Amino acid sequence: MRRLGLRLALAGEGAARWGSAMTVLAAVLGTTGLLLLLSVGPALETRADRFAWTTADFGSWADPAADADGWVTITDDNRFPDRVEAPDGTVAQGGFTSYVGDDAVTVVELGHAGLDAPVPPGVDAIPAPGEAYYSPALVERLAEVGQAERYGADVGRVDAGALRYSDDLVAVRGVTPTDAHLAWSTRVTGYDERAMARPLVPLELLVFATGVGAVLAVVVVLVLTAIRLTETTRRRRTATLVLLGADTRAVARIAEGEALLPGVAGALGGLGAFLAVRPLVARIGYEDAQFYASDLWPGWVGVITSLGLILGACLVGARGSVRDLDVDPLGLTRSPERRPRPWRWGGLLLITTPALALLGVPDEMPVVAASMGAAVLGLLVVAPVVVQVLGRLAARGRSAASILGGRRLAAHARTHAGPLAPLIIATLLAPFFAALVPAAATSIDDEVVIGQNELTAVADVVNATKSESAALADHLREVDGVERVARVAEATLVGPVQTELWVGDCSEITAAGHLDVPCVTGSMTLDPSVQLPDDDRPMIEPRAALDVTTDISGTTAEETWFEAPSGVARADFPAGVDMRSGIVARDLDAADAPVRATQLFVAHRPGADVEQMRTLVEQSSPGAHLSTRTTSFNGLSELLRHYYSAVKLLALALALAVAAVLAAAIGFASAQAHRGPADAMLHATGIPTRTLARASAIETALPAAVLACASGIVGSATAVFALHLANRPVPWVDLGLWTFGAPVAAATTLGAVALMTASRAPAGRRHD
Amino acid sequence: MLEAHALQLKYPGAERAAVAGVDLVVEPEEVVAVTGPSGCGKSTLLHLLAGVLVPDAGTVHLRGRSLSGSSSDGRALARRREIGMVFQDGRLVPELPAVEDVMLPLLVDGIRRGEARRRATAALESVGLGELTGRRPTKMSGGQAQRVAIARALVHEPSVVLADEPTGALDRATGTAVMDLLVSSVRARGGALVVVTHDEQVAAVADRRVAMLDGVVSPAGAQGSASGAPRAASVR
Repeated sequence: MRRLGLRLALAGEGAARWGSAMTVLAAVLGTTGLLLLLSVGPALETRADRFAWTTADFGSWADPAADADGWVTITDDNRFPDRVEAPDGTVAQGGFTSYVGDDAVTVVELGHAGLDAPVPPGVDAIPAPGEAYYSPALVERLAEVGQAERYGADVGRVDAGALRYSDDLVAVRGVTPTDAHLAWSTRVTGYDERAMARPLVPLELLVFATGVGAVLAVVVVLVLTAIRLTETTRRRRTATLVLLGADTRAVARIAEGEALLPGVAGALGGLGAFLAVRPLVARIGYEDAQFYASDLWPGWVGVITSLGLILGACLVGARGSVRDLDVDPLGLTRSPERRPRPWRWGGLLLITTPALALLGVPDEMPVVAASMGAAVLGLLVVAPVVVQVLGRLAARGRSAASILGGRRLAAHARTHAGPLAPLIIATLLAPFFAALVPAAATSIDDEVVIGQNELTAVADVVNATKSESAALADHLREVDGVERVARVAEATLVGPVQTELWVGDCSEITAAGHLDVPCVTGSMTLDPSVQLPDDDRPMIEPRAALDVTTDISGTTAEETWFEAPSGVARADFPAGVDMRSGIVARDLDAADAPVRATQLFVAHRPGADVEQMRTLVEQSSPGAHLSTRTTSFNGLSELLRHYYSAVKLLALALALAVAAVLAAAIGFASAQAHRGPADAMLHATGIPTRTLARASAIETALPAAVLACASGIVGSATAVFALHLANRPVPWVDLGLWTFGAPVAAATTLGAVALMTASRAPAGRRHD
Repeated sequence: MLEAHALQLKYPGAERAAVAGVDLVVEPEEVVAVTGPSGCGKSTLLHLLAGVLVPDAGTVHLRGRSLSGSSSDGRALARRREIGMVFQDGRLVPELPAVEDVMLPLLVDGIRRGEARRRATAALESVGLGELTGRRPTKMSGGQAQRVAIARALVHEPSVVLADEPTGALDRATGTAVMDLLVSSVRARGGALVVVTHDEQVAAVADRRVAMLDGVVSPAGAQGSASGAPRAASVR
């Protein structure tokens, strides 16, 4: 029977060919989407394996400068010993993230430590101190900003096989073992070729699961729609087959066979399309890095699974087309449409999300995933009921178009709700993902998230000596665009509550840090929660700047103790460098200054040569690096980066939305064509074409708009729920736009399609 | 061969029964014409006899086996083994060439493709279309298409052929030729033919006529053919 179906698929003409073409298109889209989704996991793993050598979280290490008890003796200028020896067969490896512009550079520092030290993949040898290997793209980027050889004399290229992607920015520079040690290096005895697998976070799982489900749903609906294109012909043919003795199973198999050929062609085409778009998708990047195109490969099991799922979806769609068929003396008809199932469990599913949000049940992403799945199912279940209610309401209207369209909607609620399923899914997903983009974007503008002013760069020079930090400050002052440089010592105040302080010149620090707070000499309390004897004593806000009149002479850099003072000065929340709880006024250049600068605040004008500043900082002392507001954000929150990564899949949701509207439009156009005889009869009785077109528009656009809005609201609610769990701001404007704008756009498109297809004179159509 | 007793069927929502208490017995090699005005229940009766519709009351037996009491699959099996059907518009599948269309009943019955093709070709030759086996219905005349339909109805050698206005879409000359072919082919195979028609000329070919009105056999419904006495058929 399936062979007969194949024969019919091959022999089809006209609408049948369009139907086959649409099934092919559905399978192509579905296969491509599925393969891309299933490739993300393996691609992450392959890329991580290839780049595992840069993260020195392997091997064991011990502090070579530590004594038997593990304590390290600090010299007078607070630096570690000048020389660190390491045994043979090891290499001291450290590293940090640098930047060129806003692009992250992975800097690997290797301290040659003895004979037979392992050489990491990607370089020919361990570079000598002052030398560096550069990835090809990094050479170009540094040349663009005039900072060639920032990380050392260029001695060669990092091999492409050791990079995450071809344009990856990587430098491998040689340092002394002592410097490597100071930069928190690890002693490496060998390099593995596999990275620790990173499990997918719940948000990613949610995205992938909903993505796979949505892709399959769209394929099924597209196949059903494709079959509807030829429904009249197929009905007659199926009626003939039934009259000739074909039972239901035989009819189903013929339908399957008919969908199989375009399904296979589409699945194979989808495989080809996947291979074709891989290079483009690989450039989109995920988690701060792109991929090689070859990384995006789900394995043969994944490929076969994808093809199987798509073919399965095609067969499910084909079987769905022969459901409820009855043969009557005039041919073949569908059984009288069953009444839409009542709300019951559909309604229960729908209220899952708000109920969970109100109850504040478990604060975990799986809850969001479950509630989102429930919301999708709930909407799909209640959609026919909604359509029926809308139809009854429309039928109460006064115009003939309203009555006609409303009656048709009410009578064929399930038929009308079916093609809207992809639209429901798409409009539910779109606001969810769209909400995450402005949420993440808002975060970078939020002073609570990033306190650093965009005109203040912060150099971390934790291993610099007093003289090195002073010299660096002098060099930075000479850079074009730099206004002032303040040296800052970070200290820890341990009192009733442990807190962090800055030590240095208060006016210099507040000016360089763009801290709009006065320097007030006084004493301080540390935290509003600390119970102090004097109840009248005002509290100081965290992050307020003031000079603390506490004697810190005789303290060390590692543990600076203060007594909790009395008295207070306070200031409003400032927008500058992330502030500490107070500033201890001290002259860091004084011979008796017990602490040294570990940070430099660099105030600069817009357009200052930040790259020159960065080069100076990163060449000044081991592990020194410069952060700007943007780079601080990039390194701030893993969760935020996951959001950023996940929202790139917004493109998928949008593609689904387009496919959904396309499917629904074709479905309605098809329904319109099949309604031709009835419309022709009405037209013949004197009803103008315009009225028929309006009826079609009502019939098409009304349920689309209402259901899409409803799903948009549910999607937005889920997004708010997710953002609440992640403690992220809710972008109400964007959510509103997606919740109502997208459905209105979809409904307008569908209404226009209905008007256009119905505006032709019905009598002029050719019918089977 | 084919016996229907007290058949009754009322469509949902209809005011009266489409078929109300019809008895009909058709003997082997007998040709029965069912006549009557539009809406009198002729086609419904035909579909009840074919097992496409299930009566609300009454029974249909084909070669002693209950058709009306069978399951849907059982009735489908009877149609593909024992019953051939011919329709006014031929109901040919437009995507298929004539030979593959005629193969359909055999393929549906699980007969191997080669064997089905051989038998279909023979059936087409028997109706004079041996030259047109590869032609699609859209490229055929009405008469040729109806001959293909006859070949399809006979290819599995059914014991009874049910024809619904088989000449309704044809001109008189072609209709006569098609009807002659249908009757001769059925008789040549020893089968019976029940033909629903408006056409007096078609009805005249039958051994017996059954006239229907408003779902029942009219009082003067049992008539012999113009050319001969009724055979062993009875209409009550």
